[in-house]
Amino acid sequence: MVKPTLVLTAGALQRRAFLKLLRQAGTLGAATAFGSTALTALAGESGNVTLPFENGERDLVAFPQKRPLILLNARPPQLETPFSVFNEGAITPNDAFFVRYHWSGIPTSIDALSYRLRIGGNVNTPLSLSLADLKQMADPVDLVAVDQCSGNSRGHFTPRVNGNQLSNGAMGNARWTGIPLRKVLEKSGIKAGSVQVAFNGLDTPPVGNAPDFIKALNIDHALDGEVMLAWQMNGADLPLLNGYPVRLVVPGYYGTYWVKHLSDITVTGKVFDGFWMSKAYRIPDNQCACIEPEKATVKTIPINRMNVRSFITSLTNGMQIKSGRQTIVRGIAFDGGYGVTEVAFSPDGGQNWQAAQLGKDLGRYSFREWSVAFTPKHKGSHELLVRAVNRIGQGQPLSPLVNPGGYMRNVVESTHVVAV
Amino acid sequence: MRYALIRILLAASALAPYSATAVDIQLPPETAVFKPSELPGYMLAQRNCMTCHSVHYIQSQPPTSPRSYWEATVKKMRVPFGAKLADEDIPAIVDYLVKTYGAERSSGTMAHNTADKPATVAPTPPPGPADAKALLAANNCLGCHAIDKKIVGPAFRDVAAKYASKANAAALVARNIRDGGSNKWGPISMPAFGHLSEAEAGALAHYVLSQ
Repeated sequence: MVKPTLVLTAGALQRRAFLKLLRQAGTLGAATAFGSTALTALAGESGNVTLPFENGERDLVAFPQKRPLILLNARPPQLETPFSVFNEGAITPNDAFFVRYHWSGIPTSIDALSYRLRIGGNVNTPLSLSLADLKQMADPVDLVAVDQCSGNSRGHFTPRVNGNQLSNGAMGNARWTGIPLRKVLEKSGIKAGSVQVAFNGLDTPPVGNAPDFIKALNIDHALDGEVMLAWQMNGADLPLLNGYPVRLVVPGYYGTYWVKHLSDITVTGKVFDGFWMSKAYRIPDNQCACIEPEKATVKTIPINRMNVRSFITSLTNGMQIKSGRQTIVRGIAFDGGYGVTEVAFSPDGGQNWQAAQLGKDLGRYSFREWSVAFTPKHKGSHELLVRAVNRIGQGQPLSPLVNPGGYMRNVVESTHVVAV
Repeated sequence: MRYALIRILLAASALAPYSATAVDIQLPPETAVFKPSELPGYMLAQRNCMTCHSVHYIQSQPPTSPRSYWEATVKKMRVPFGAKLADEDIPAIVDYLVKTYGAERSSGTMAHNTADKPATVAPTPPPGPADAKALLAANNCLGCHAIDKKIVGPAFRDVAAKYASKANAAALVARNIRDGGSNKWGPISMPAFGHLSEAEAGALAHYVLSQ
């Protein structure tokens, strides 16, 4: 599948990267003595993949603390998880977890001892907290939650929608450890009349007058006790590219709110109107968050809670299975935090549906595994569909809902397999 | 083997008493380059776009993307995203982008993500004595650097001053050019210019250090 010329190129790059690693290993020894852990990308390149849409050729590249992931953009880093990872379990490993930044001014060296998180604005007592302060402020809490990019799956729209051309890998499910944001806000003392809380991280625009990436939540949401300041995922420190040393975790909400390398929390007396809230990441203000492409404008609101999705993970398009023999089809489903209560599977393109068995419940914000037995009765092509329903009855549309940003794709997914 | 190695390195650092207080990463070399073209927008795109982001954003867009998309996007880069684009350069940049990556491609300019590798298509100068000024232009160094002031990257004079006392300054600077670098001058990393030969990187290093 891989062209011989590319193998040679990748091999050459790997040799070069290996030599570089040896060089850096020398540096590392010195750096470690001074309390620094130097981490480097080990291989320049590790092959390539073709995502299932036009112009979907991508390199697989190993970034620091990451296995080879689908490279969407090198600067700033944007990495997508190969879909096969989602068939390995409900938890996405840290080294496979997707990466998304907005500006190329990303921190590449962070000292956990000198790191400070500032809390200010409309508060009684502004705070500057070290990592140790944060960890001592309250008993740590654990929560399993899906982090999904607003534009996950954008590349699959027809007609195409501009923006990051992602397949289905800009999502991941992890066990986050931290303390509730509420504890910090309560310690700082929110003044009466506060409206929102704004979150900024250490990443910066490369040129001075561009809008810094700052996101905001309504004050009630920020105080709900579930929004979290997390320093661990899956029992380990956050990888740098996932927000080391502390990131915001907003369970049920799209990843755009999960600000990485959190540095400033600002309580505001009015709705925060920065670019990334007032102009970007907006969706139509209606039930389906959708719009007919030819319609020009519609009232918009900031993107917020995730909709319901489900995927088959054990079979992919074009895969062969045995005719007349039982196959266990497996997959995942999730929503914006009400919890998936039902997954239905169709072996015949939607004519008949059967209930899938739900796997272990890791919490209402988590991926929920499911499985179903399928015995193809005849040889040839079979179209497999899956759809999920959550606790409040939200489901998935049979044809995609479209909005100008290409956000929130949650169409019923279809997988074509061949019985032989 | 690669993973085994880093595990050993990490394990070694974990053994040092309370040592892992800082995390440093080094990003891999940036390999994507603009597709060469006779169009005047080719050089302008190199000079302007890559200051802030790699070429991937552009080359991964749907090939059906119309001129109106590219025009709106280039203008968005100026306002509100702050790119220092001259008004008169915008039409040429848009023309290059739509004819190379968008709806007005001809069959000869089909762009594929994994094909645009510096090893095969980078605009490298002909062999011979490396001319620093030609290299500066060909690699768009001046998109991010100036001789006497910081733009995105440091002023060449500041680099020269920093390395003045080092015996192997030329080798260090040449390596930073070829491998890229970060954490020395602020939050913006310098991409690797790995397609340059050692002689070319050396010529550029000498030029920088003589400022």
